Amino acid sequence: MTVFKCYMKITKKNIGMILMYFVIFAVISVAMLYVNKGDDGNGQFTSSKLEAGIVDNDKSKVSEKLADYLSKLHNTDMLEYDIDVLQEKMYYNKYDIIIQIPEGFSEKFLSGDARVYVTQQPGSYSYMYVESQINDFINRIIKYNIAGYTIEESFEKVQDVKESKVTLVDVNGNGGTMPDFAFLFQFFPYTCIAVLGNVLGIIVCSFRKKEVKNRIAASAVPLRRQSAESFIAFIVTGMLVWAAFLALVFAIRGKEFLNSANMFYYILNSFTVMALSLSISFLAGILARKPDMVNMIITPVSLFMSFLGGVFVPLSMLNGTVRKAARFVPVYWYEEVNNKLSEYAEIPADVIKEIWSGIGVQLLFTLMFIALTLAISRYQMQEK
Amino acid sequence: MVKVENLVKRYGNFVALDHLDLKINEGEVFGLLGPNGSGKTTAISCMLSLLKYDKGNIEIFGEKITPGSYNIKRQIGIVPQNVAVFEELSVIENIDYFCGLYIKNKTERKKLVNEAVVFTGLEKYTKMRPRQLSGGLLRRLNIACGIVHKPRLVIMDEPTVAVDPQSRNKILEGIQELNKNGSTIIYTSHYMEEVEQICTRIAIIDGGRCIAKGTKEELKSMIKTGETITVENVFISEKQLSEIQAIQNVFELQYENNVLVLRCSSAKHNLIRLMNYLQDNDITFGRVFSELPTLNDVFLEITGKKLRD
Repeated sequence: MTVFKCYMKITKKNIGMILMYFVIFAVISVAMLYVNKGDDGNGQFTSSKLEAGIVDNDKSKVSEKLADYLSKLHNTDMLEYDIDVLQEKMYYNKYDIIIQIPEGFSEKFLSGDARVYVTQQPGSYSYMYVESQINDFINRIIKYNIAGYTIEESFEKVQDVKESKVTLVDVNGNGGTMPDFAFLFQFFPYTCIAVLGNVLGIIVCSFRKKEVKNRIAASAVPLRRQSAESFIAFIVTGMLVWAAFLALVFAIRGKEFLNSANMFYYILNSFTVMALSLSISFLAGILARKPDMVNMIITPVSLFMSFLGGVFVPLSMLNGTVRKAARFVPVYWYEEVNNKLSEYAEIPADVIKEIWSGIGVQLLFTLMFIALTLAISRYQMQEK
Repeated sequence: MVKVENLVKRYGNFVALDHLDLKINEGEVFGLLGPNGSGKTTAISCMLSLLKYDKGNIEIFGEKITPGSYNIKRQIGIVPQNVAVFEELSVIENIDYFCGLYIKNKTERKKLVNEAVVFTGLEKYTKMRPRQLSGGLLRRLNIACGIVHKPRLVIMDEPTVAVDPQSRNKILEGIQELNKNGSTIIYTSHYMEEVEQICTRIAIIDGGRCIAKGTKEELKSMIKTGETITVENVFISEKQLSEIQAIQNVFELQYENNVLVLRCSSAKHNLIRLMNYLQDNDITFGRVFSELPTLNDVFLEITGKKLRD
């Protein structure tokens, strides 16, 4: 197993670089976990109350009900119409807005022509919010009235309307959010391609150096055996990187991952992307003329695939054209599967088909890269 | 030990080896001498079955060599023209790796690796990576990787190219020691001095053909030149040049930039005759030296061109 041992020895020498990639991976993943779990999800939308002054120039039952309605939504004060006082209160930021109910408001109310005047602090958009609430109030009263209710009954109905409640159907068992470990899987392709590409690509390139190749070809180890040992070394290195990644997942979110019904698919999907990374490493090793050139191939390829494939930017944020183009990037299919897995706690039958087809496309890309590598390798040999 | 018969190798219309015949006996240091592009490396690649040839036959240890002749390959060590090592491995790891291609037993391998390190004088550099080594040390590492498994036959393809004189001497001494220890050596070079120094038999190759072979003495005896006399800072008229040309045994004369070069056939008193003539004619002169024929003279006489052209 001389060739195999040589692969392992060189891999071992690159342990520093491998660890560096894993540390970056772990730091980014953990940071993303905390960014996404920064609040409990309830604080994303909070109702705000404005400081509002109401000047009721109509002094009718309707205007009184409107003022009463607004007082439940905002902190309101009833004011007398005195332009100097009102201006002073606005100037000293006593109120965010001042709502004036003009004389004759009640008479125009049912015809839908009634208007209120809203004065606001410069640069504020609060008036749109308050106007919307007032319009909502008026429209609902009119609708009840048209339906046969008296004005009094309509007021009561409007006051009685219960707040609508939103019930989340928790299909993925994570309160509508991605499970934490899914973030770790999201970033895996970049680390995997970068690590395997830089380590194995360099080794392949070193073995392809004409003189080394001739020296080995002139030795007592048969060519088939050399190829078999190289293949085993590839698989073992890939498995080690993959196992290290899964160990990291277990270390960070092991309990959650073990409880996931989709664990098998996550593991299978990450295994597929590992195989894909191996094929890319092989191709990079064949394309590079010198070992130093491998990094110059792998870095842009891994970044390009990761950006377009949805590793760094979620696929949902990519526009239609970019997303269509991304379909030609194998990592896209990995992230598609990953997204599907994180969306469902238990995967419906039709989604399972999509998952298998996503994995299948990745495997096709892997085979395509291997075929391309063999073709290039054959061409290079014929050239020589 | 090695028999190359009627070997022809073509690259398209270009004939790299043109009916090459070689026979190398066990225990020899056999020199393949020829200018760059003469076919030395191609011949070696064919011998190692790294290249397919168009015609001919190659036998090593009495058997025809093919890409699958692993029993033969196990007994051959190769030192390629360019350094063939892994940049990612240290000196000792490189030697161990190439030894591992021949020797499976770990204990035996360790012993052989240590011996190769000592033999090439790399003891102080075992932990270093190849890029940290000087050109001479790199060449020594290249040799260590080729001879570590103690092969019966060592093929060295210009192992001293771009090496400083000190390292070159160390390498040449090492090759002679290897030979003393029982290895047969095929040594290719375009440095005639090296070949003269270490090779017991020599084949001169040009244009893919073996134009002469034998011991260095045999090769030198094949040519007309027995002695080359050079006289510096000498002023001679046309008439005097004709008279010098007529001196006994002188068969070729060159006079350029006040330097006179005479080629004489092998005989006694050539130098004395010339000195007498110069003295008799009151001709002043600077340094005078006489040289015995070199392999370059052999090459020059056979091909009409210099070995390093």
